[in-house]
Amino acid sequence: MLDVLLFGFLRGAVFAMAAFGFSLVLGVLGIVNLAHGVFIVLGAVLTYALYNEGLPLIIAALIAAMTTGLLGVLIQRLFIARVFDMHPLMVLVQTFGIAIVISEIANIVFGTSERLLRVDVPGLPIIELGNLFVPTYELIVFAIALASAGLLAALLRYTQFGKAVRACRDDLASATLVGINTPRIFTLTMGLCGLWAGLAGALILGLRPTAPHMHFMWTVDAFLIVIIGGLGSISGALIGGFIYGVLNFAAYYYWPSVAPAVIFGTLIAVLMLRPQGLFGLGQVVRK
Amino acid sequence: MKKPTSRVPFSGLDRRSLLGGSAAVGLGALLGSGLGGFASKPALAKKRTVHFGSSLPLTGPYEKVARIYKDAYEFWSETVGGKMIVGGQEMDVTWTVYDDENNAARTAQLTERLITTDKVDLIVGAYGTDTVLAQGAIARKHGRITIQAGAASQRVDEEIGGHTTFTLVGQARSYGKLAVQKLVAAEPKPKTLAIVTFNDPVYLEMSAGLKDFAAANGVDVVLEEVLPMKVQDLRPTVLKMKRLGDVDIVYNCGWDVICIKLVQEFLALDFTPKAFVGGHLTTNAVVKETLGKNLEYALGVTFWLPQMAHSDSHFASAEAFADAFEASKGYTPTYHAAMAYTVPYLYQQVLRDASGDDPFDPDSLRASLAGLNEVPTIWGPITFNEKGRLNFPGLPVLQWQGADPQLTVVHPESLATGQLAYPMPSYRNRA
Repeated sequence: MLDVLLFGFLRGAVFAMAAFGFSLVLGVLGIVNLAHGVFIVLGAVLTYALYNEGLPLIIAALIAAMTTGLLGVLIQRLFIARVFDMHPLMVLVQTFGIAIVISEIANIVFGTSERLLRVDVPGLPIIELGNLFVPTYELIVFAIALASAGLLAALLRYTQFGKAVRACRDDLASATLVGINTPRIFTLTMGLCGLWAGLAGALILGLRPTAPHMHFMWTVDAFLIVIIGGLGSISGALIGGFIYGVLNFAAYYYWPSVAPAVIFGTLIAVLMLRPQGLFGLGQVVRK
Repeated sequence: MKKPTSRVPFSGLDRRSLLGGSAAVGLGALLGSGLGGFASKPALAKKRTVHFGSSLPLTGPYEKVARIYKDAYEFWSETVGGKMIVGGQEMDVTWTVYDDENNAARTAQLTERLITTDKVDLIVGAYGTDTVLAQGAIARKHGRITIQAGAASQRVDEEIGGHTTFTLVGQARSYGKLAVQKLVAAEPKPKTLAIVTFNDPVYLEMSAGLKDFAAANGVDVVLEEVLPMKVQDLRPTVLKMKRLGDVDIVYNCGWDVICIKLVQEFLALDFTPKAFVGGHLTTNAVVKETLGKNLEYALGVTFWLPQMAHSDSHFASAEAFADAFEASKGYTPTYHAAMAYTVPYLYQQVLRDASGDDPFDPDSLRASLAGLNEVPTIWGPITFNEKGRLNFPGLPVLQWQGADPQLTVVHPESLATGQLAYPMPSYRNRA
């Protein structure tokens, strides 16, 4: 049981990191971004491609994350901003279409096969914790995910940009009235979302196989985490990630053949019992 | 829009092309197939073209493997110089290969089109159990036959085997037979087996076969992990094996990425069984590229390797076939290529000396194929059982050996190029 919890937590941190951007965009822009998973898989396949071209893994990951961040900016400026004031369904359909187009392009450019990297920390590939063996890379990923959550929380709490983001999240009309440049905030938020998700994708590459066609699975995972953790809260997304990580790992450990049913069944239960999530800040109906 | 004509020995059509205009395709098919399939004796004398038809998942997740099949058909056409002998008469060869997108309903629709509009003379199998069954159902409706190399499931035998479809793939139940046979003869004899399989008929058949062979050889199946097809994380599975504590053999029924991921999780959790059988796709290049030296001692089973002692009327050895294929297509052929190449080759064998008014008559073809007896091919000697399934003893067993792991055939003895290294040393203690 202890090992299931431990590995679930380790997985959960990177799940949370993958979901931070989704939570932020849902909270600030009030949209369900169905193209979110694209940032994650693109972060992974770009990192893989750059790493295979001879770049150090860290550099490859950073370039990939910046690219997905830029992609987030472009998607917001070129597409979402144009239909933002229309019916929410328009954004949903549009982001779904964007996801399909980008993933198909990625299939053509990078291929459809699944990629994964074996990442060992030189000299210390495994750390023993009692009778448990934990790959050092996974502890590093865990630390990066926690640090990134802290960084994001600090960014939102202490910077002018963060204050503006929170103002938009809390009351968009008031934020506009006091002169906040909301289109700019939306664009930066989407950029931040792409950056974080791309970095998460790069880290995931060392944990599980990734391919462009898996984008929607990641969008659903991010959605689940936000539903569990609650809207608009980085700590909620982090804890949602941990819970989802443990739930996911336990489901595949104890009931592997029906694991997806167990996971989605839990989601339905959460939605029925606590629709605002465990740590949600806002109301359930948005936009 | 590409259309099949007698001047183009190989043509592929995508969805757009299909929707582009039936009249043009019909005209192309008419040109491509000469006078169509109604060849009475005088008509046969006038017939100049043999029209092959098929569909493959040329887009989607099976795109890569479908390309290999298509390349292999094309390579066969190149090998025979775009001509084949039918009843002693030389004819041109033309192909129509549609993209079925791995969709059974679409495959059925395309097969109908191949038969009724394109009027193909010979149908070559699709790829994947559901699409092969859909293709077979339509072929059966029209009283036609197919030779397929894309589905191993027993359902093919039960639903369309023998009367409609002849299958070049051995039955999935037998994939692991020789591996178990080899391992139980090793010392110390393995006593326990963990099977990693998937919630899909073919993988479950493989797993069922393994359980039978294990029981017959006194090996306990201590774990049968049935995973969803889209599983991403194999840590829970390997953790369970580690917690079981006494797993001698781990057998992966799944594909190459699952093999890679299992070894990675073995390393991550410091778990070493006495033997690991990585499955029937262990020879795919991505496995060695990703695992490198960690692949040493891993076993695999395979349908085919260039070093196997097979030959046909065009190539003196499988190696010669592999070299020629690589020269033409730019990559080393996988077993898919050898198997797909053999489909038109078999048609050629049974049609060469065909007699009668209509050599393409399904009844004659069926009887000829059913009567094949150990016909040498690049894929191996061909004899079909009463269900139209290739008779085969099980898949040869390979092992990756050496610090820069190279493939060694370890079983059966007739093909072996080396000895089994067993048990595996702990991953942790390897240099």
